[in-house]
Amino acid sequence: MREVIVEERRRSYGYMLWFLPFIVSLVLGLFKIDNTFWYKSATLAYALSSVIYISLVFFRDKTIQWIATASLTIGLSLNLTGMVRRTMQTYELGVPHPPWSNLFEALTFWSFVVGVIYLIIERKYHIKLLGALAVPVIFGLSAFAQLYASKEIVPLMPALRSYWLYLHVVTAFTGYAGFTVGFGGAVLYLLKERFPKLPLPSLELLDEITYKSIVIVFPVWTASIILGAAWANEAWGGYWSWDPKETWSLIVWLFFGAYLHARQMLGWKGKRTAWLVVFGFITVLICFFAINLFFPGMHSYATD
Amino acid sequence: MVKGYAFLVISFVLFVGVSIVGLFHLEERGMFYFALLGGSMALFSFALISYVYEVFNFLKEEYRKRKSLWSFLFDFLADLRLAIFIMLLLGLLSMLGSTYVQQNQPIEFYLDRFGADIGYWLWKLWITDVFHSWYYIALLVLLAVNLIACSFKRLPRVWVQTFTKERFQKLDEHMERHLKPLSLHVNPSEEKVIRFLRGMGFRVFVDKEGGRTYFYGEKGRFARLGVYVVHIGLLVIMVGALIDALWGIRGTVIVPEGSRSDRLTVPAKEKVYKLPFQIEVEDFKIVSYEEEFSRKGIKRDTPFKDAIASFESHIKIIQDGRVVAQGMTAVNAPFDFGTYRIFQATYGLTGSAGRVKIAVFDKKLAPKDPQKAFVGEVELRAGRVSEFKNMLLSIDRSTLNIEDEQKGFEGELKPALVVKVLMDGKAYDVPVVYSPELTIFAQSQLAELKDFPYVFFLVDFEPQFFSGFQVSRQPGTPLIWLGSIMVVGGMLLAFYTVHRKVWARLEGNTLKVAFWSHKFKEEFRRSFIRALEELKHESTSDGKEPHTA
Repeated sequence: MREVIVEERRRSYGYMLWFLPFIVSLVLGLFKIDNTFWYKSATLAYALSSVIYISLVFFRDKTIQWIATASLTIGLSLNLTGMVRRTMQTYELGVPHPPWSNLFEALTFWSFVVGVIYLIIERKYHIKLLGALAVPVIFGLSAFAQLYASKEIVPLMPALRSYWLYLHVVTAFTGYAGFTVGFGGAVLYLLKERFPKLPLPSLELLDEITYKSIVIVFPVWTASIILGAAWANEAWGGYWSWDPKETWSLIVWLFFGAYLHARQMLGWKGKRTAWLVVFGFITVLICFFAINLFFPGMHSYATD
Repeated sequence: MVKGYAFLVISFVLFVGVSIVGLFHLEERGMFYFALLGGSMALFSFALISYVYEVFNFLKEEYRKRKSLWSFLFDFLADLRLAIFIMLLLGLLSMLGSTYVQQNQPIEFYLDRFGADIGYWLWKLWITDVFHSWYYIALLVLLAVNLIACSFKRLPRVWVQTFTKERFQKLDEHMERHLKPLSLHVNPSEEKVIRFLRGMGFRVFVDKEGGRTYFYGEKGRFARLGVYVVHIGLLVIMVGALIDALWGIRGTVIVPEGSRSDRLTVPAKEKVYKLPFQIEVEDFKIVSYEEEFSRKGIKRDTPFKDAIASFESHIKIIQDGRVVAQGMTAVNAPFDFGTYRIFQATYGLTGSAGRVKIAVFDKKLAPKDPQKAFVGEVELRAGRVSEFKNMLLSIDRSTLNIEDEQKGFEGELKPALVVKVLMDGKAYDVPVVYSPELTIFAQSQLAELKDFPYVFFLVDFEPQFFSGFQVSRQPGTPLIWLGSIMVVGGMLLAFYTVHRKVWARLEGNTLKVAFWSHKFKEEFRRSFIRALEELKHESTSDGKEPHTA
C-alpha cells in the first residue's frame, strides 16, 4: 500500500466563549473586596447549583438544564474571583503566595478544579446527571472549607516558599479532581446497573467516562509525585523518605495502576472496575484528609 | 482466582483492622475482643490457605499445559495478574507502614510503647520498618522481574502489528469475518474517502485491485510504545534507588554557630558517620520578611514583617585544616560540595551565648568616677578569642536563663556567663550576669579576682543558634530523574494519544468500513459512526458528486 495526502481542515472558535466568565472574574478580582466574600458567594452558588442539578433527576427540562450549567459556571467564576483576590491580598500583605497553600485554599481550589473538569465532560458527553453527583461534592468541599478551615492569610513556612509549590500542588489537585470525577462516573455506573430505568447514558459510556478521567489524570498524578520528590530533594535533601503523604500518594498510584492494567490488559469492565474505582477513591480521600489531619508529616501545613 | 483474592484481601484488612483496634484504641482487651481477634485470624488463615491451594492448583494446571519448566516460569513471571497482585499487595503493606506504627524508631521505643511481647513481634516482623523489610524489597524485585518479562512477552507482537509492513491488511472477505465492517450504500469517490479519513487525523494508505479500492488508515501508533517507555523508566528509577541505597548516604549534621563538625547522624540506622570534611558555621541568621524586602531593595509595609521568611548559614568546608570551599546554604537553596549536597533543614538554640558585648571598667576608679573608669567595650563570640588591651578573652560557660534553664529556651532571657581571661600569664574566670548588681556582687565576692584590675558588665547578649543540616550524597539521583522523565513522558504518549486503525473497501457504490481503537473504544465508535453518517448525508445530498471508481 502507498500513503496518499490531500489538503483539508477547518476549525471553529465558538468554544472561546467559555472563557468569558473567567475573564470577568479576573477583572472582578481587581476590586478591593475581601476574598472571603467571593468564596462565600461561591459556596452559596454551589449550594444553589447542587439543588438544581439534583432536581434534574426528576425534571428533564431544557431550561432547567441550561440554568444548572449557568449556575455552576457562576459559582466557578466566583470561586476564581476569590482566588484572584486572595492572591492579590497576599501580595498586598507582603507575603505573596498562590491560593492553594493551606487547608482552606486547598479545599476551595480542589472544588474549583473538579468543577472545571466536570464542565468539560458535561460539554463533551452531555450527561447532566453526573452533575447531580459532582456538584454536591464541590459544594461539600467548599462548605467544609468555609466551616472548618481558617481563612486568615498567614505567611508560608520557609520551606514552602518555592516555585515547586506552584507545579507540585497544581498537579496534585488536578489529580484529586480527576479521581473525584472518575468516582462520580463509577457511582453512576453502579446506580444505572442497579436501576436501569434511571435517565442516565448507556453503561458503556459511563464506564468509558470513568476510565477516561482516570487515564487522563494518572500521568498528572504521577507527575505530581515526581515533582514532590524533586522538591523534597531540593528542600530536605532526599527525594523519598516514606513520609505518610508520600506513601499514600504511592498507594493511590499503585491502586489506580492496578486498575488501569486490569482494565486495559485483562479486559475487566463494568461492575468490577467500577467498584475498584470506588475503593480507589477511598484511598484518595485518606490521602488528602486523614494524612493532613491525623498523621502530620511534611504536609502538616494543611492542618490549620 | 479473583474471588479468592478479593476474599483474601478483605479478610486480611479485617484481621489487621481488629488488631489495630486492639493495639491502639482499646484500654482493656476483654474476652469478647480476643474472640473477635481469633475469629478474624481464623478467617484470614482460611482465606490464605484456600487461596494458596487455589493458586497452587492453578499453577499445576498451567505447568501441565506447558511441560517445560522454563516456559512455565516465563509465562508465570510475565503474567499480568501477577503484576496486579503485587501492586495491590505493595499498596496494602504501604498502608501498614504509614499509619499506626511509627517507623524507624529504636527497638526500645516499641518495647516501651507496646509492651515486651507485642513490641518484640512488631520488630521481628519488620512492621517497625516496613519499607526496608525483606518482604517489601522482595516484592519490588519481583515486580521489576515481572515488568521485564511482560515487556519481553508482548513487545515483539505489538511491534510487528504496529510498525512493520504486516500491518497493511486489506479489508477483503477473509478480514470481514473478524472485523464485521459497516456497509454504506453511498456514492463517495476515492478522493472523498481519503479526505474523510485524513480529516479525522488518519494517515491513509491505498491499494487498488481490480474494481476495488482498499484503504488502510492509522494514527497514534507510537502510543503503543508509551507503556514500554514507562516500564523501562520504572526500572531505571529502581536502579537509581538501588544505587542510592547501596552507595548513598543521607543524614543530619548539627553545628553550633561558630564551631565545626563532621559527625553525620543517620537516625534510621542509629549510626554516626564521619564525613571526609568538616562544616563550619561562620554565621547563622533568621531572615524576616522585613529583612528580605530590604535585601531586595523593595520598600513594603507588611503586618508580617517579623515573620520568618527563611533561615540561612554562612558555611566553610574544611578539609585537612584548610578551607576548601565556602558559601551560603538557605532553605530551598542547598550548597553543593563535590558530590555532597548540604541543605539548611532546621535551627535552634544551643542554650549558651552566641554574641556578647561587655563593657570594661577600671575597678579602682569605678566607685569614685564611673565616667573616667570606663575603659571600653569588647565583643565576645562563641568559639572565638577576643583581644582587648593586654587581655585575651573568651566565653567559658554560659546560660540563657540563670533562674530557669527551660525558660531560656523558650525565649525568656536572663543570661549569665563566665568569661575566661588570660592576662600577664595568669588566668581568671570572671562571672557576668544580666543584672549589674548581681554582677558586682559576684565579681567582688570571688577571692581569686582580688588582684584582677577590671569589672565587666553585660551590655548586649545574643543567644547562640545551632544550624541543622541535611547532608546527602546520592549518586543514583540522575538516574531517578531520567527514569521519572521517561515514566511521565511514556504515560503522556500511552494515555494522551490513542492508536486507531481504519480499514475500508470501496467497490462500486458500496463502502465497507471497519475500525479499531486501542483505548476509548466506545467514544471512538460513537464519533466515528456520527462522522460516517455525515459522510453519507453529504454524498447523497450532493448530486453533482463525480462518480469514479
